[in-house]
Amino acid sequence: MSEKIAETISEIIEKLAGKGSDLVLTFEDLTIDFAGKPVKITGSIKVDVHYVKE
Amino acid sequence: MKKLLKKSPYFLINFLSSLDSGSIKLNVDGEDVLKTTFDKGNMLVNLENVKPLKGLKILLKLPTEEKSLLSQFSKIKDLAEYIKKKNLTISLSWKNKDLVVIGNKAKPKMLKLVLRTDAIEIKSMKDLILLLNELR
Repeated sequence: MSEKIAETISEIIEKLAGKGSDLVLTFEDLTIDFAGKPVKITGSIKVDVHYVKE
Repeated sequence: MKKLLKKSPYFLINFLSSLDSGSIKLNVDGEDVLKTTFDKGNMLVNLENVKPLKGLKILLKLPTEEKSLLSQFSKIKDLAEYIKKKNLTISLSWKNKDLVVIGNKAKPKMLKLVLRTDAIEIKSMKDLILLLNELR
């Protein structure tokens, strides 16, 4: 099943890259437990999808 | 790429278990698509606008009938039980309507007999099918 999901994610990235979509991820007070210490992240990341066929 | 993503669902679940609080919003081509909120083992994914995701149904080969939808859910049974084992709950809602709960806080009734797991609860089959139709 995980192979099927991986294939699907790969196809989605390929599709989005083909469309040239702009993806923006915005983090609001995202607190991650990093090696027992809380790390807080706030901000935005614009994702440019580059897809290279194997 | 496919090799890298092969075990990604389980890797992703392990990463999610380290998120304590906060939220992540996804915007595609200037349109807000979803907001994911994290709160101590609970992850709520609220789909706000599926317009930028149109076409995914064909790409993902998503079903629009109850019977084939249940068949798809039975395929993620192992992943759902892994989520439960990690004491995580993932809830999916669309326009603030609850659709599916996977993991620790899932409380399936009759569905438990069909899927043979207590880690997947479908809150509204009707709204779930409506959502899938929106993705056409």
